[in-house]
Amino acid sequence: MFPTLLRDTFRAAPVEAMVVSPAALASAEVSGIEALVRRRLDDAPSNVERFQALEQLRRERWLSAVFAALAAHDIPAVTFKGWSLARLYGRPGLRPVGDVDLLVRPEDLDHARGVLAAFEGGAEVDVQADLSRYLPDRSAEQLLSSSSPVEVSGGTIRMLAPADHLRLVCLHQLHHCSWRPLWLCDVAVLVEALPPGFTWDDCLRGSRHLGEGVLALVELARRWLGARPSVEPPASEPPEWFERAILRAWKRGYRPSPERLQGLSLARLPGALRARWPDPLSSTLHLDAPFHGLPRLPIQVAELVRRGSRHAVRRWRARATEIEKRGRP
Amino acid sequence: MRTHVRRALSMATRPKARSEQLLVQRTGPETLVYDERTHRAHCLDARATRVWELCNGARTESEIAAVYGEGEAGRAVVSWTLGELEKSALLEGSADVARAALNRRVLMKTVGLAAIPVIMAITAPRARAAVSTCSSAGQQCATKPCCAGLTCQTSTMTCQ
Repeated sequence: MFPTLLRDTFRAAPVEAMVVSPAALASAEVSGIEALVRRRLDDAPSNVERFQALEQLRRERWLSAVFAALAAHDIPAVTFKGWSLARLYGRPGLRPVGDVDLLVRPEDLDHARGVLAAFEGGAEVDVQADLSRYLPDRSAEQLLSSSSPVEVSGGTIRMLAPADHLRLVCLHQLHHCSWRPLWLCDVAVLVEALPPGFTWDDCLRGSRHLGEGVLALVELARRWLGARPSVEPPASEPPEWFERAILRAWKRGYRPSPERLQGLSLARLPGALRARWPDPLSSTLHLDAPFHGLPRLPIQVAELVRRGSRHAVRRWRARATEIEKRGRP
Repeated sequence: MRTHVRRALSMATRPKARSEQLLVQRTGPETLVYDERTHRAHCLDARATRVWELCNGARTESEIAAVYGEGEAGRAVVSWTLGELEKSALLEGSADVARAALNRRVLMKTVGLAAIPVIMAITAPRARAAVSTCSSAGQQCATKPCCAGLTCQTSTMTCQ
């Protein structure tokens, strides 16, 4: 449903009218693609697009003030996702800006939080000094040094370099099992806005398997959404399970983590396993396995074991700390 | 008598578009305005935008109507739009001026429905809470995951 509805809607050019079911519209509302989907009903800006356009402008002013304050304290920073993606869409307001993601050096983290305290209320900010969860092969220092400035009316905002941003946007969505269709639209706008100096080698540098995941998403953005990369990417053939997993995730939407188990019986085991069964996308990503056509079952089982053992270690540590505290006079 | 006085007052003023504490975004023929003073958002269509742009503080209402054109219909449109801009606090000193605003029904008879400029309030979409990709501490996690370091408490569906 969404691949057809979203096709070409991220650009400024008028789109073809289509019938949108109430269920599709309701689903679009909660996954951030309402403004894009409403273009199928009427290409004139919808109320949600207008609202998001003003939010985007307000965020831009706010970000430029934040970057000026951080620069005054000699704190190098870079923003990613949110506003930096919204500005690439064909019309302002097609993408919600969401919260603010900022990356600073580890040694600047506390200082940056102190500076940002003065800006409370403007936006929800997530300041980070480590993106290894999504980009295990890039350090914060590297990401900051390759970032690029964007001149806006209120000053200068720094964004991740297009190669790093595209890799991050792709790996971030695979990490979250790609449940938001908006994330594939982000891939589409990013590949259409690649600057002339862009090289795919920069984007694919690091783990080969993670690179395969990036290229598979770029290919899907092309096939499903009609994206036209401004720099031709290396050939990729996304496996069938990959496409199926994304369509299933879009259909299902966000799935909250299951409740913590308080004792496990044989009768509850199938339900507990089903609720915790890892999706093939994040399993392949977390185990750094190849994104090829072989069945995912062994990888998903391995991921389940990995998650289970991590969880057990965490609980064991928490219990040990608790016992230690109790033992203290 | 009272109407005549108000009309004379109105004609004598030189309306000026507010620029302080306003964020203005042009999107195609429309103008989106966010008022940082009142935290209200407005959308002006092409006609209303034109009248608003003509309010430079140097022209009177009749001069604005002359530049706007369209004869008698244009005068009616300008008069009505200035009233709406004042109501939306988009003119300087909007609150102090008592403009003789035209009735919408009278204007419709003069210029027709399609020619009436539109200034409408923009409200937050229903799914505004869902625009962030993750929920912070205390926020709902029914429709989006918790931000890094937080877990979704399924009993309350909030991030902790």
